[in-house]
Amino acid sequence: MNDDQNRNEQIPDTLTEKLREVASKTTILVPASVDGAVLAQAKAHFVQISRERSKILRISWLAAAACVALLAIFGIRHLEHGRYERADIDHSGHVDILDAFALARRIQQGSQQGVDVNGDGAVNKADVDAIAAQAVKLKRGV
Amino acid sequence: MAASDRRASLRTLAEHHDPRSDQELIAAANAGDAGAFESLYFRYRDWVGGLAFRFTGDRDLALDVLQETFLYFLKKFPGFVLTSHLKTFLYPAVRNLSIAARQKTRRAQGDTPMPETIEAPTPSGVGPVNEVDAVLSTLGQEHREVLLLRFVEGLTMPEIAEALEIPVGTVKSRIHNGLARLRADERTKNFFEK
Repeated sequence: MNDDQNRNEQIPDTLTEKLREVASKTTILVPASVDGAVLAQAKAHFVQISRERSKILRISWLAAAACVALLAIFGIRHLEHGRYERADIDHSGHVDILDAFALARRIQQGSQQGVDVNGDGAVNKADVDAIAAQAVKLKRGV
Repeated sequence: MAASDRRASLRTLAEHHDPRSDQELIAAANAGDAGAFESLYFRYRDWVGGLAFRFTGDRDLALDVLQETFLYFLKKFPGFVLTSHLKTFLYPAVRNLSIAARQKTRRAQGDTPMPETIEAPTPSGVGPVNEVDAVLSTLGQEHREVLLLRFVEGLTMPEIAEALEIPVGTVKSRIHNGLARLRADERTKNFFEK
């Protein structure tokens, strides 16, 4: 807005006061009952909003928990599958009791080449047993 | 109204003084803070009530309009976005609800429904409070409203235009014509003399 327009809309303070008196003549006092009615509806409205948000939050948490569970199951299976793929010591294309024997021979010979099948940080008889157990499970078709 | 009601009303206003800005209160209300809406209610209650009384000319109708206005405002949460002064949002709501209330009253009384643009009757029992009011009463309500919104409520011309849903040029024209009438009238020209 330019200066001319600014000057046009300026009025003396005394006139502003008179206009305030004009505005205040229509002031009405609002009874407490009206306040109460409005605020009661407001309270109910915000309670309803809060309930809906809690419901959405609960559903979101459940969905997130389900995703985490699925990821965990998938991850564990993938990890196990990966481990047992590595347990194919003789590279025959499948894991069987011969792989268990092969790992046992290596361990007996003091070889460090092996597979930590059970994930305990060591390559030892426990891994041989794990391969044997897996081989039996696979044979059974479990 | 009884003096005790007047005291109660003023006490309630004082109890609900909230230092937060309108934007902050609206953000809080959008986040689910009922207290923030309460603060907004008390901040604008009297203004809405007075405006409704100006439009309806009847105190009981004005109180009904006041309630409906704030319920209309309440339903905007969550998700209300304040784009300018809150009065620019409330003003058309009060005006339209007042027109609807008056139409409903007239229908109930068996009168012919009036067009939406007929100006509100003078509030019963309220005459001119000063010489300025007396001169402004010779102008249409639309001129009075623009002058009050500009010089009492402190709204800018674009905000007034938005509130009244008229072009800015029309706002400027009404302000100019209103002030010209005050300058020309014997009763009020002295305000402009130095």
